[in-house]
Amino acid sequence: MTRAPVRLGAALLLAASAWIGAASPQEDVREAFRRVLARPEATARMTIERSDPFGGAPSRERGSLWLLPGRGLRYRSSERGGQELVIDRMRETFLLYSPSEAKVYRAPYSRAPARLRRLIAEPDRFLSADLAATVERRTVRGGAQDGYRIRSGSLGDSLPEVSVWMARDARSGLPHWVTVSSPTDTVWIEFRDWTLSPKASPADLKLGAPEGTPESPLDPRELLRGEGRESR
Amino acid sequence: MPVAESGAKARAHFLASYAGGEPASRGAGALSLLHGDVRDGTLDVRWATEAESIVVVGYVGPVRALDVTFLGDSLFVALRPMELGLAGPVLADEGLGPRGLRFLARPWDFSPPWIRSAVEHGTVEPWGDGWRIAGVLIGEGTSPFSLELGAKGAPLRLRIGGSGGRGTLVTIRYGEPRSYRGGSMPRWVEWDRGPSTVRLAIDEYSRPRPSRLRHSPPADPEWTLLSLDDPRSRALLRRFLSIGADETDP
Repeated sequence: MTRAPVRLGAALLLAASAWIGAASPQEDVREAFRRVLARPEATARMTIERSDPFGGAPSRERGSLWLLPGRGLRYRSSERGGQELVIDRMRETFLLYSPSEAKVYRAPYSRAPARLRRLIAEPDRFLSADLAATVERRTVRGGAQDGYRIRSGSLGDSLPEVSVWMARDARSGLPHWVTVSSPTDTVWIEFRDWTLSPKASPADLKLGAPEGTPESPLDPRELLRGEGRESR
Repeated sequence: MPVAESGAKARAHFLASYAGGEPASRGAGALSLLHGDVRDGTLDVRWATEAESIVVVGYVGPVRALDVTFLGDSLFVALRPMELGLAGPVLADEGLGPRGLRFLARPWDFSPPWIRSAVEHGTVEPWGDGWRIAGVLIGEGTSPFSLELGAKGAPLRLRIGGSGGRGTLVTIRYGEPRSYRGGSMPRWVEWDRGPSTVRLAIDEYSRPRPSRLRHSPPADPEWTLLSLDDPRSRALLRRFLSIGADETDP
């Protein structure tokens, strides 16, 4: 549900952080992420492909991303019945619209995934984190891609067995591929048609749900309120 | 498959098709939760089974939202968007116990000896255009069942009563059989319980090598993890499955 943007955030975070204090290629990629994260607004089309953990055919979803560093982000699937997500720091909201259910799930900003909140609230931190990166060529959709493997577990909140790889677009130099791999599956995120705007448009963070769409709380842990929690 | 001429032949056809055993399987489909006429949500699901292990992964679009891992009598449920995990053993004296829950998770596989034996020893009688087998499932307790078959011996509906004959534990409906790469299977399966229905539309079904089965990754360290016997876990599962507080767990 909210995991695609989480992966996206983690990927951007990990990849962007990898290029600090390194050789020239790393500086180039660092610059690629800086160009996205330092702008008031960046938009892109995305294709998210996920492998089947049991060996079947992968699933694929296309969508669009609006990223307003410091303010929020919006992801809208372009698939039939696909979902839309908005995280708005200024409005203190975290919204998920499910057209197939004709329902908007609402939660406070603090309930948004931590990695995404960090991406929104602290883009500078993304660009200054210290991660080791190594040059690695991978085959993506049948073609060889030069990119960089990011050391996993370098961030305190990353799963130790998750690895991230990214590649820049050869023409624009902007992020093109980000992959996130766990022992059970891999997610490929392809960014296309980046648009970097000199001015942020907060209206781009407006959820596309029709007026009057019923709302529900997003977090079932509401059910657990008042009874204390066990965390580990 | 031809129309069965007798109840015994219908049962034999059924057992030959649905009780041959499923050492390992892989499938994909759409899982919908309905409450009355209202659809509460749909997940794309992929699952794999191997011997007594079942792993289910649920997606919203390409996004992984749910993991269920059932190994032996241990169950782990991860609700990823909520960063919440439920874990613990399924108790033998609860509902149909772990093996009953395993059967309910893949109710097209009637090969477990206790299930097959119950079907073999049930009474058969004509029912509509087909047949009905009635008997008792003997586990930790005894649960009456009735299995309705079509004229050709395909399953239509399975009703399992509560232990000691108290009410209905669950009713399972089966769609028309379809040929998949892994063999013949119902096009869909529905689990009915009170006003709630869970429907699985089956798109893919195959029988890969058992070694293809992988288990769910561990939970993130910051997740909330609850024991299955924690009242909050119970409340959550009941809420998701729309089970009333006074009803028996399946």
